[in-house]
Amino acid sequence: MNILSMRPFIVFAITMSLLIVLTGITSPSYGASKTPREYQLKAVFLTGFTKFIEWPNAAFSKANRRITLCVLGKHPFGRALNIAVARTNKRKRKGRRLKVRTIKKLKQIAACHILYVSKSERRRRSTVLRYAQHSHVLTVSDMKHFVKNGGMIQFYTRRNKVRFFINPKTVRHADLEPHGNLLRIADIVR
Amino acid sequence: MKTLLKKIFWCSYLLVAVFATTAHGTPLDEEEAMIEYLQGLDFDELTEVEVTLDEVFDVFDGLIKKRTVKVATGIEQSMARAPAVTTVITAQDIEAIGAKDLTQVLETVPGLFVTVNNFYDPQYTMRGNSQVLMLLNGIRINNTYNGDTKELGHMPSVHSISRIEIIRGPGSAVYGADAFAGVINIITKKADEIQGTQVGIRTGSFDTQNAWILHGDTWGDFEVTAAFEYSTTDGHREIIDSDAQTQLDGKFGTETSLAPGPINVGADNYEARLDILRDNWLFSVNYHAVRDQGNALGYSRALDLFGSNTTDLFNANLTYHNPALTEYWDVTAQISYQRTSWDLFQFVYPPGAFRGAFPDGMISNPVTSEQHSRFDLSGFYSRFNNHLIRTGSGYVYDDMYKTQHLTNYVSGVGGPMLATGVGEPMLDRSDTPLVFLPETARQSWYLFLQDTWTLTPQWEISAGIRYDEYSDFGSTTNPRAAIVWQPRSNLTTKLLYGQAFMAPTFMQLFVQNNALNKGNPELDPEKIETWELALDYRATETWHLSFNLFRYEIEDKIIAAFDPKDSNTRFQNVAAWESEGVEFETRWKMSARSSLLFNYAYQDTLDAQTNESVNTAPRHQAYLRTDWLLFPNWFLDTQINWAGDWGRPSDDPRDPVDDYTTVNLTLRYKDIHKGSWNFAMGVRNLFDEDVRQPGPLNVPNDYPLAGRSFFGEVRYQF
Repeated sequence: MNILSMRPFIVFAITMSLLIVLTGITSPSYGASKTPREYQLKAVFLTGFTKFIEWPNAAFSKANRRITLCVLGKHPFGRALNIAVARTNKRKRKGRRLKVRTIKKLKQIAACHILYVSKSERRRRSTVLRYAQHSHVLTVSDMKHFVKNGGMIQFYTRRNKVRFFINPKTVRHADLEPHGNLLRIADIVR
Repeated sequence: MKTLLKKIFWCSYLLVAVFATTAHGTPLDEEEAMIEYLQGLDFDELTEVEVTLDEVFDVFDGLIKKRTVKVATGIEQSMARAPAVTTVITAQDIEAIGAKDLTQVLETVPGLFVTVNNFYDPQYTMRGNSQVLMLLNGIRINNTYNGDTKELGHMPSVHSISRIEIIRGPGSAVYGADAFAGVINIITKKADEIQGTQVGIRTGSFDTQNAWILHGDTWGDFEVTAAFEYSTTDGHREIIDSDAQTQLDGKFGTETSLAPGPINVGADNYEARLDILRDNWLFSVNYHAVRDQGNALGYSRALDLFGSNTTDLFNANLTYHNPALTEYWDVTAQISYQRTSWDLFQFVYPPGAFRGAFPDGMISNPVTSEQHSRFDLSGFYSRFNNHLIRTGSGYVYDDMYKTQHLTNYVSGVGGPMLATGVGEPMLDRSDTPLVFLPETARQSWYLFLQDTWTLTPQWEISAGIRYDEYSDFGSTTNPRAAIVWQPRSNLTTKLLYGQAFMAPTFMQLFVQNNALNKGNPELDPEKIETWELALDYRATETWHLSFNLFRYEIEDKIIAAFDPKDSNTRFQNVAAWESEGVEFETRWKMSARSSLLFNYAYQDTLDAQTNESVNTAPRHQAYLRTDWLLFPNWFLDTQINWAGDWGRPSDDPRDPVDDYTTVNLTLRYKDIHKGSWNFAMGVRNLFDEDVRQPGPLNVPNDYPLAGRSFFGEVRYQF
């Protein structure tokens, strides 16, 4: 047998051994690794913001006693946001409980306390922000330039860590009071 | 040795499968635990937590994620509820399988089989029928010369594809002409998917090289996407043992055939695209050119090693989309212009043909150039509760503005004769009655209406109708209807009915000076009527099944047939087909680091008059794809394709082509953290299986496809 006809076999053998060796030395547990996913962490941030923001009493009514967390547009959180809200409510002894609403229409923003604007809405972000100006609502998004365009909190990722910008002026403009601890962690934009 | 290799492969495959399947945790509890852990941290600790960026390369979740389609009705809706049988292929799928071109992507779809014609151009055959409408970002690509999508070549480069939405079944009620056996809509990546600049190079067997660059960013108020790609290949150069010239050599006692010899399927591809988006306005330009494309066996089915063909496609489109023009109207308006041309320089028969009458070979150089101008306006109206109404209208001007034809022969009584001396310019038939096709144009306009009525959360009915009027062959009306029943959130059943039409092509209407077939201006459109029953079941969070049955009937099918009136062979609406079949697919995320996709399709398509199979594709096809995360950042994708039972016409004495199985492997290193390298290497047709598709009688050993090939790829994201 000449060496040329052996070539496919050699390539195959290398590929297979690579496959088997890599599979063999791999520990079965890393697939379920302890690295959270981006939107799991963002869901925890979103529910966490409720601890650091004070809404005016006018933002609530008898029918709307809970802090309503609205997601406008394509919902990126999977189950993470619902789990985070359910767990926050379970632990709460005092203070307002939370609920999640997925909304599509701009009119529905009036009933929200936190508005997460999905990236799917980037083409109408200015319209969304204009609507939000009329209510006591904390606007949050992952969109680039969100804070620059008049949004309040903007997530960004650096070296696979989630950080956020905040513009305290626009937050206070909506009669919301940001806690000093929140401003300490965030990157302030003026 | 091959069988031994195969045995080793299958054993290891099973071993790894078992290993990967058993080594999994429970993903649902994991998520709760993770949230609990994160909620236990302070805010400043949270900002230090390292995360896996979503949507980057989670091929395992990606496979079973609920997918949405827009192609079925024009609005984005879940695949399960869309009133059509659809498949969605994402950029992640394309990357995982290491595909080089559209053909390698589309062969993963159940019920879609990629065949080759005499030019070795891919034909996307759905359920036994290759009459498919191709769209690029929703804009028609098919030409009016022969309905083909040759100008698309292998475009667009798969690296710039965001997703491909495929309807198997009729789409004329939405898209009009040619949405006959199915619709393929290729959607390219937008700025937010590229986020910066991506570059890549790829090299592989058959002297194939490929380089691309994608850029997407926001410049002020503008969102800009640009893509460039170049590729070159010599093609697989498989050997054709005997061709049409071999048969003629037998008759004349000559030895001029180039067979046995390698087939020329090489080509150079150039591609450029620019999208500019601002608020409601999108402007896009696409250019694609193919140079030096081998003619393979050409029209005559005689090996052509000296000729080549070039194609050009250019289109520019301006789209205005306002999702809230008024409270209840979501409106889209679009103007588009497209220009395509095909320039074929063909050695119909090789040098020395016809007992030496053609010392340089018998040469034909036809050119077709078309332009299409379109205006479309459509909108969704949501005034009525539980109804979503869509309506639209448009106008199209199809212009075959240039046909040219040069030959070095004329037809004589005893066969072709040399028209001009050796070394002299060829006979120019352009703009004379001798040209193969007169320059011609047609106009058409349409109107459609569609309603989706949600009776209860479980029941949805959609119905649509479209009227098309053409200046040359008249009008046609095509309805469709669907009943969607979703008794539980994880189970959907659909009953679908639709009609569609295929507009007669300019070739079928007007081709002339051709001994084989003549155009027929009296043609009517071909019609198809399709019934489908589809089932979609999400058995668990990680295991999905879908199953569907179909039946269609084509009438007034256009074929070249003998006309006793004047003893000519011309295109006529005389054939009829009927077909039925099933498609089945399952997707399973086996563990946090492995997933599996399997599909199987069966189709039996008959000529309704003779009750014989049309043999346009194998009756059975099956596909298995598995993805494994072998080691952090190391992904292995395995694909197994099987095709079986591809018959021959009853007057063909040859044995049917062999069933075949091909195996492809792609090993990829990808750091799912942003801003890093991505390497891949792979092998296609691992066992070098001799894959053949049935050829005509004068190519007795059929059409061979590529043997084993390797590739390597590097990408970098800035």
